[in-house]
Amino acid sequence: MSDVALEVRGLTRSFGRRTAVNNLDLAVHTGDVYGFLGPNGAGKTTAMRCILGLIRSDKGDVSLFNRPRTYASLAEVGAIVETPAFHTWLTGRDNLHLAAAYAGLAPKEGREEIARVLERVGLTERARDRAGAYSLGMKQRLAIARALLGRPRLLLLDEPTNGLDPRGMREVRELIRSLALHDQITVFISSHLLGEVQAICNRVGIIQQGTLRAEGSVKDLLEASVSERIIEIASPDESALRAGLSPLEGIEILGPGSEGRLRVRLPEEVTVAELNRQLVGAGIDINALVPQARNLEDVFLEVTR
Amino acid sequence: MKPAHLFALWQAETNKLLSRMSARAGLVAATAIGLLVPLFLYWLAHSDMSMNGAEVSDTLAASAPKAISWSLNVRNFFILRAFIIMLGAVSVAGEFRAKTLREDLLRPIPRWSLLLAKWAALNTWIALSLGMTWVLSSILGVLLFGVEGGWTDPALAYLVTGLCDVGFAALVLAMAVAIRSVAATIIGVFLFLVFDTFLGWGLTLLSWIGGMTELPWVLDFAVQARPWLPSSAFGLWVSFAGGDPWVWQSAAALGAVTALSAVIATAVFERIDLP
Repeated sequence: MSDVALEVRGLTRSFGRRTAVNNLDLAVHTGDVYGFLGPNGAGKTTAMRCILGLIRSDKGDVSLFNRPRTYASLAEVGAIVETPAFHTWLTGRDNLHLAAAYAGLAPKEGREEIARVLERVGLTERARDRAGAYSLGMKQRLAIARALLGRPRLLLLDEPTNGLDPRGMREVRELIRSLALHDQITVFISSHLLGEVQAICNRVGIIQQGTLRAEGSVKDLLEASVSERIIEIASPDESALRAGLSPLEGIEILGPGSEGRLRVRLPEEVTVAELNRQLVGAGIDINALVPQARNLEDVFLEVTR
Repeated sequence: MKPAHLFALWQAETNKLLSRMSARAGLVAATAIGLLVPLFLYWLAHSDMSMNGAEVSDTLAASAPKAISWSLNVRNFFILRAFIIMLGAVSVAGEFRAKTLREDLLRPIPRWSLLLAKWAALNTWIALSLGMTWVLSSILGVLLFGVEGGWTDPALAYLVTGLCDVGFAALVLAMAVAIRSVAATIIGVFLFLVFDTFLGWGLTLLSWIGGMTELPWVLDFAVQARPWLPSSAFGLWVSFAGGDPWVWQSAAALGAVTALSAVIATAVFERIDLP
C-alpha cells in the first residue's frame, strides 16, 4: 500500500441552505494522477478550496502526507484554483519572484527555482513580458510554473485546461503527464473533460451534488459494469431496426452512434451473435454490429444519471 | 513562522506596492511638496505683499525649519492621506477582487503574516514619502534660508506624523479587509473621516459654548471626549508642529485605534472565504 498524499474525511461545506460538499471522503496515494470528476456545480472547486484552506469547511478533516493540513504543510503542495490570477503589470518572472518569497525560498534558491520552473514550462523566452500580455495558454503555463516553485510533492489543479485551444490543452496535458512521470509528483486534477482525465489519470473520483459517487482506478471503473455492453448497429432501415429492438428484453436504445449507426446497451445474458440472430430472424437487414469499448464518459454518465 | 520568511514577505509586498503607479504618484507628490513649499516660502519672504498693513516678508520670519513645517502641513492636508487610503484599499480589497490574494495564500504562510506584510509595506511607503518631503525641504530650506531656527519641533512633528499615518494605515486596512471592495473602502474611510471631523468640530463648538455658559453634565462629559476621537489621534502631529504641549489622550487614542484596527483586521481576515 502506497503512502497517502491527500486524504479527505467527512468534508462538508454549505452555503446557506445549499450543501456544496457533503461528507466527502477521498484518498490520493503518492504517485497517483487522480482525476476529480463531476458535472459543473458538483462541488469540485469548493472541495478543492476547502482542501487548500481557502475557505472554511463546516466539518471534516484534510490530511496531507499523513499529517493534518496546516498552513505550513502547503509547502509540499502546488495548486491552481480556477482561472489563475497574476499581477498583470508585473512581468512573468516578477510574479514568480513574489511567489518564491511567499513560498519562503531564500533569494538565491528562489532565482534558481524560477529559472528551473520557467524552463520546465517553456516560458524562459517570455519571462520578461508583462503577465497581462500573456495568452491564456501562457498564463496557464505560468500558473503551473508558480505551482511548481519549491518542488511540491503534490499538485492540485482545478480545471487546468479550461479555456485553452486544442493545442494549449495538449501542451498542458503533456506537461502534467511528464510531471507525474519524470518528476514523481502526485497530481490531483479536477475536471469535467472526461477524455482528458482518461488520457492522463490512473485513478478517479466522481462527485455529484457534493457527494462522492464512485472512486477507484480507471481500469477498475471501466471494467466494473461489464454486465452492460454497448454496441452500435448499422442498418439501411433505422426505423425498422428500432421497431425490431423494442420488444427485446433488457436492450436499451441509447441514441445515434457514430457513422449513422444506432447505439444500444446490451444486458449480460444477450450476446452480440444472439442479437444478430434475433434481428435477422425478424427480417431486419443488418450491415454491421460494432462492439464499443466503454470509456470514462460512459462510466461518468452512468454514475451521475 | 521564521523571521526571515516574514522579512521576505515584507520585501515582496514592498516591491509590489512600489511598482504600483499610485504609489509612485504619491512619492512624486511627496517630492513636489518637499521642493515647492520652500520655494513658495522663499517667494513670499521676498515679495512686496502686505497684510493688515504689515509686510508679509517681515511677519513671516522665514527659516529652514519653517519651510519644513509648512511642507508637513501641506503634506498632511489630506494629499498623502488620500494616497494611503488608495494604496491600502488596492493592496487588500483590490487583490481580493483580482484573486491574487488567493494565490498568495496558496503558499505556506499564515494569513496574519500576509496582512502584517501588507501593513509593513504601506508603512515603508509612508516612511519613504515622509522622508522625501523632510529631506528635500530641509536641503532646500537650508540652501534658501540658512540653518537658523529651532529644528526639534519640526523633526518631532515628522516623527509623530509617521506614527499617525501608521495608525491611519491600520484603520484603512481593517476597513479594506471588512468591506473587500476598493471603491467602498475609499468611500467608507472618507465618510468615517468626515463624520469624525464633524463630530470633533461639534464638540469644539460645545466647549466654546461651555466657556460662556454652564452645560448639562452629559454635554460637558462629551466635550471631554474630544481629544479621544480618531481625528484628534490622527492629528496628534499638529501640537508638535506648533510647539504646543502634546495631548496624551490623543496619543493613547492613536495607540488604541491602531491596536483595535489590527485586531479587527486580523480576526476578519482569518475567517473570510477567498474566491
